[in-house]
Amino acid sequence: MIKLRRKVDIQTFEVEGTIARGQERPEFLAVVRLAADLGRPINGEDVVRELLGNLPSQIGWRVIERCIQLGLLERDGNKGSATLSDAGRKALEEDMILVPEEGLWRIYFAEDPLLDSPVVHIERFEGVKAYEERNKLYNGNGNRDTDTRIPPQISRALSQTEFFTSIVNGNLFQILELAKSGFKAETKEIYLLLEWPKDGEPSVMLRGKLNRHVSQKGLLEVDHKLQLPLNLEELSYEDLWIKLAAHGSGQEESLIQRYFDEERVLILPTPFDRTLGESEKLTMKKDISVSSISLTSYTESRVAFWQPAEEGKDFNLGRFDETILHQVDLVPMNDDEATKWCQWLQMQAIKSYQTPESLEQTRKEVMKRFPYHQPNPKKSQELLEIAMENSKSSVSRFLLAPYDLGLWRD
Amino acid sequence: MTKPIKKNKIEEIHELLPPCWLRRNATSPDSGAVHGNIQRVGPNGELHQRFIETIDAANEVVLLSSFLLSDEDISEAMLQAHDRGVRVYALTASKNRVASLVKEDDEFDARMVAEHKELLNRLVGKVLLRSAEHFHAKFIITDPQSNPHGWISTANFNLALKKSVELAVRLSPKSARSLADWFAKIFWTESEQELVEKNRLSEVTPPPKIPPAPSKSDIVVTTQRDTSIRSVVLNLIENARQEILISTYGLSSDHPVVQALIKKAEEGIPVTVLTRPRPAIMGTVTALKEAEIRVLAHDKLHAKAIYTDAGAMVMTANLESSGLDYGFEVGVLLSDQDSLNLKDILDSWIAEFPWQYEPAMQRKEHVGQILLANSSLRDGIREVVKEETVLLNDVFAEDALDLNQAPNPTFTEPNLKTFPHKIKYEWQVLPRRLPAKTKELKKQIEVEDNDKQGKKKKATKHISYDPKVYQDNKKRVFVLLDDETKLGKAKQLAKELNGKVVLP
Repeated sequence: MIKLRRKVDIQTFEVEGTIARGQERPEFLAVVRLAADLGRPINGEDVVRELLGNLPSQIGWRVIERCIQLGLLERDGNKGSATLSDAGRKALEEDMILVPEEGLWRIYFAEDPLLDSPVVHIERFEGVKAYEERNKLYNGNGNRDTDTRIPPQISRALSQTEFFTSIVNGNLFQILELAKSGFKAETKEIYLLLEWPKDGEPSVMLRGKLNRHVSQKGLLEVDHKLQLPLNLEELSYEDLWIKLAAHGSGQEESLIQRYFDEERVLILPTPFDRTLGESEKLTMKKDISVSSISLTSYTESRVAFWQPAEEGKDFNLGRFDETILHQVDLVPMNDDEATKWCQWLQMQAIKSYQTPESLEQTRKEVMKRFPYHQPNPKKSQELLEIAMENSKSSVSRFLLAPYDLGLWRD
Repeated sequence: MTKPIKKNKIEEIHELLPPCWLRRNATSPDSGAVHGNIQRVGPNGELHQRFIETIDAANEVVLLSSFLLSDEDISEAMLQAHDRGVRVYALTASKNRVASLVKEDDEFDARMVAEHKELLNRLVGKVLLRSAEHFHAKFIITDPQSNPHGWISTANFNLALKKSVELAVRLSPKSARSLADWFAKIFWTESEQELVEKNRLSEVTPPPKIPPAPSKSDIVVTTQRDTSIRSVVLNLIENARQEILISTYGLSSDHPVVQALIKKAEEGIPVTVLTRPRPAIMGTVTALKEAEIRVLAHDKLHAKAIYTDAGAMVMTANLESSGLDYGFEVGVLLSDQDSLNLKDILDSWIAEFPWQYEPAMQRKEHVGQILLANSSLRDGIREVVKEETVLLNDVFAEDALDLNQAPNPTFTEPNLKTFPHKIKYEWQVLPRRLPAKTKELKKQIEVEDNDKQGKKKKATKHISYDPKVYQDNKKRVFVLLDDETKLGKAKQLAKELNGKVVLP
């Protein structure tokens, strides 16, 4: 699995305004669903007949009026039948009704290339005393403070997006109106994680905890799956892996790429030298540390590093912290190195008394670990000669005892 | 007449000697002579030296098996062999088995066991050593594949190589190679533990392959699957027509081999068994003697060998189940010449061995040392003597004037450390002395005396006898002879008063 992550600063801005938040209001959703099902403008009689039994039609009309106020239905003029609005359709999709509320709000926002919108959450709060909050927002004297203007990220978001989704609870909300100025509160870090299982789909998550307004207790838990950037969906796991492995190991990318192109395997050619630890030589696997990287995906499904995104052509995934590619499969650089490695593994496999037959079995098993090379492992007689030359070595006894004590004879 | 007199009585002891070993010769170390391929221990460690030389001459491989392993020089030779690149392999009895011997057999002591353990620690990493409860064979093989040499030894590789009465046979190359095959087979299939580090033996795992069957030769074995030593011994006994000579440390009367010996003796074939005098074999040697088998022993005998006119063998197995039915033991059938060599050795032992077993012998047939069959050499030695004098307590004659009438003392057989043919009891008869708590007995006489008015009158008076007479509370009368000149008076007085003459 590839795991990349970075910190995301979540800023907060406290402001007075009107924001519609998703609420579970089944009575209004029923009316909206009725309008959608009928596929035509509905009137008070429709509502009474289908939803309210034998109540008078005026009650049905009052319901329609309320739905129009909530923006779920719309009509030309002030009277008559109403039809399903965009907000109504959205409410059906989300199974929630956006209910406008006027009050004091804490707006959470951030800048990250993988966020759909900078505005990520809103929280309504009640001031200790409403007027104190207002005074704070308006700098105590009702004059506008230049430092309390609505941050550009929020302004830009409002101009681009109508509906937002909370990273805290996934609920829909809509910012309908904000005062011109407010109060910039604290900033808190959470993590953005890009996780990609080898045989699965990538996912981008935000995880962490956010502070609430001082008047509210507890923390806001964030564990939110973001929508995948379109370009990332077009990338392959292998492309990203090769880039990371090359970057982390210092190995030529083309060499790693060649193994993938020819053998369809993700492996790292590695010199058989002191840079490898004993367990890495034994397992032929290694954890590769990858330093901090910026990723930019190209439209032709490649990932490059250290390159600025080109407008319109590239999609910037942003810079990620250092990471580790766990248990990367290693292969020798060439046949000579494969031979050295193979013979080393043969010796390492001698942990009990051996016969020519068992050594041959080991030789075959070790050979299988080098499917892309032609190593030249030691024959049993050669191993015996090595043991004879090093008869005092503790490993040698595993060959010499069976040889001296009859097990090498037919 | 009143002086003490000495008396004695000689009593012949007809009781048999208890089951014992009669001393027939002094105990002396065996010679270091070489008889063909057979080497004896020797007072100067000749056998020990042969083994060191054999290990020192090895170029490739040393295979050594010994129930116990505590000889410093042998271990040093093994370590030196390792240092010059020779691979050294060893089989020994397990530590538990060795430790248990201290209780079972006075041949072994705690010091020996400690030395064995200490030596194993020195061999760690240099000698590939395996052990098992039942390993008892003793032999050395060197370079079995290129230039085989070897010895089968009845001696453990400890002090026995210098002190015991043992035998070793130098093997032919073919026999040495065959014995190496047996070593390999046992190493791979019957070992239980392998020495891996100081004071630690790990359990042995199955070998990667079953070793090939050992080549046929004059080597015979006892293993968990093979009892060819037993078969050979039985065969030699069965086919003997003139004589059977057997040397063994241990033997058990209920084993078929010992039963076969008894049967053969009962058929009239002369059988001689040489062994070590130990309480553990008392029952068996008694059974052998009942079959008229001659049983001789040496304090240090440990050799195991059989000679008959049908063939001969030197082996590591005792004549008991643990050597002939299970365990790991080896033996080598001897050539005709070496069979005769073995007979020479056994005959010389028969002539020289210090002990002869007799379960029920008349005392008068032996004078000298014996060893009680139910005791160890340390505390079972006794002497058979012609006569033992026993001093009895003095006897007091009732009458000082007639000592010869004093009764004899009681002759109870004393607790002697010797076994005498006869006992001479000696005692002294003493005249009686005046007992304590007696009062003088005076005689009453009538005398004339004057009363107050001056008239004569008769009166009674008590006066002492001469010599004086005393009486105890039982009214017994004692005439005290305090002066030899009054002997006649005393005698007369005693007669008159029905008393006894006593001395002061």
